[in-house]
Amino acid sequence: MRSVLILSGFSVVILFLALAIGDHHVSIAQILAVLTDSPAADAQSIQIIRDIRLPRVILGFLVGASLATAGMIAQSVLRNPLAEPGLIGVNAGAALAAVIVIVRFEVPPTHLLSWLAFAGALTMSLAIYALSWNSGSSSLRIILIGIGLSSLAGAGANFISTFGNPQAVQRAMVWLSGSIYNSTWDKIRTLATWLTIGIAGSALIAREMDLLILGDETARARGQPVELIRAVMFVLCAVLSGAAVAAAGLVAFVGLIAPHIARALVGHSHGLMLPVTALAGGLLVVGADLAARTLFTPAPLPVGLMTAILGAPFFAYLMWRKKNA
Amino acid sequence: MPEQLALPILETRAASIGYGARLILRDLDLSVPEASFTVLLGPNGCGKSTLLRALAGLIRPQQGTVLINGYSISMFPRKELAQRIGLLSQNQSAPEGMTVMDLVRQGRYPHRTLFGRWTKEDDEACEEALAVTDTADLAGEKFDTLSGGQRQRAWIAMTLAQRTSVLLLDEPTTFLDLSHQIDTLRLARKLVRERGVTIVAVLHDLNQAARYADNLVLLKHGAIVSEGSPADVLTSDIVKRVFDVDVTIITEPRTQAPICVPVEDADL
Ligand SMILES: Nc1ncnc2c1ncn2[C@@H]1O[C@H](COP(=O)(O)OP(=O)(O)O)[C@@H](O)[C@H]1O
Ligand SMILES: [Mg+2]
Repeated sequence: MRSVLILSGFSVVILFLALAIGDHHVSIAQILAVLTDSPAADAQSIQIIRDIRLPRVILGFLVGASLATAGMIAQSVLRNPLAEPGLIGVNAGAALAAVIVIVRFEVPPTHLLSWLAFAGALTMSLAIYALSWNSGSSSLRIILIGIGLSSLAGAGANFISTFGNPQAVQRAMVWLSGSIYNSTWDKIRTLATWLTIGIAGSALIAREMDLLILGDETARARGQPVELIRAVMFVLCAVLSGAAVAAAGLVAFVGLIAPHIARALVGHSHGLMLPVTALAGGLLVVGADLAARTLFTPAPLPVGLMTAILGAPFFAYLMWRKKNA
Repeated sequence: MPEQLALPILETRAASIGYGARLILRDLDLSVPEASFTVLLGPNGCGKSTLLRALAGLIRPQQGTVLINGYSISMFPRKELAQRIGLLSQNQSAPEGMTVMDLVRQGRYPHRTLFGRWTKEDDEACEEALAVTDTADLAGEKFDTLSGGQRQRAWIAMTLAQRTSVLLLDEPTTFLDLSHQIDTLRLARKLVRERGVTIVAVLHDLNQAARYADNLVLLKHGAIVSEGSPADVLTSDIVKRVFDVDVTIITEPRTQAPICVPVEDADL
């Protein structure tokens, strides 16, 4: 439990840093003044914090929390610690659907984008589920199918881009590489709604997930309706990854790493893992975005690339530690 | 034979059981007396695990029925069935970082409602399961730090925590050292004698089976070759037919349990 407190303290620090640091630095006193609506806040700080950084930090946090929770569910339903929506093609499905919208519309409507991304993610999940159905859905099979479908969806997105007008295609490409620089309160509201559904649903079936990870036969022999629980998990995963992809494009590695951090801190109970995973995921994205826009000025990296750069060594560390445990 | 008088708690009637189009067990009639220890024996792939799955209600016979207390097993909701029948499957694996206690607690699943709290009875069941399987010291250990035998005992503990009146154990002694093999068999017999639990287990050691079981069921190619008390079933003729091994049967002087000893050409 102490590690959870430390993680929470760490979050507060990162969130404040993310609000303070940028092209124009804002003092902690000014941040607090803006956040509490106090008259001490000056106009410039109000504009920077309220219109730019706060939406960006909040959206980043929500994107991370969604991806992380989706990753936790995917790892549990596939019983594979390497499974994440990015790997099994769920994110790619969402991205394909979103690229279609982005290439077609001048200004993609937020709601339409997230519904279609969800539809894309869900279609992909169902495809994985259906194709791996008859052999009792062995984990390896699902992952191989996912990788295949993932490349297929990626190819589809590229194919569509080829026929779009160059400006739209450029927009789609920036978005695909995963970025939260043009965050709006509208996007935040949409993502927050989906995330609430996803987290609430996961909390409801936390205990079911604890049993399902022991294997189909074991779960069924304890009386669990395994197919139903698995279907619910696929839908929740699609809800969360679809919403995250609609808001920020493809942000790599968060869904893989955050659940590992949570497991290292609180163990295998999904009820405990869920809040810690979401928190760790949110932090990863906010931290990565902060690094991306400060370390690499004047040409900030998209946060999706940054999470990959930060995530890969951390993952290597996890593997190394496991080997030397 | 007094066992035949006891009411059958589990029965298969003309059951043909398989996976998809492939039948593994054909036209099987088996009855398991209540409060007895029955051991299934037979060569690899003869259908022992498949039979246990059918008895647990996990696969439905394509023909015939499986009955518990005289009622068709397919009439029961899964959870209710799991309150009566516990199955320890053959090749188990738990996630690496999971602790023994995490695993054992999952045995309480069928007794809990969706939002029901963890009760004192749940705690007692888990503690007792840990104690009788000699795993109480391991409760907080993570799975990746355990030996094969310790893992196996943790899985047995999980199945016991379910507190069912029927236990189906698929090769419970695999991976165990001799002393824990004997402990497990003694525990099985004790549960049968003292609590009236009905146990059906798959074992590979004929002599251990003969020493501890009330009934033996010998299977080959998905059919029952012979069933009955160890003394009736373990004859050199039947062992030859089922396992294709020549054995001499001798009798343990104190318990009268039959013992199989393989015959080599040099002995003849
Ligand atoms: N899930 C399954 N799907 C299809 N066939 C199976 C499955 N499990 C076992 N079998 C087949 O059923 C036969 C009997 O297997 P099993 O009951 O496990 O034998 P035993 O436990 O006696 O070694 C084997 O030929 C095996 O290949
Ligand atoms: Mg078997």
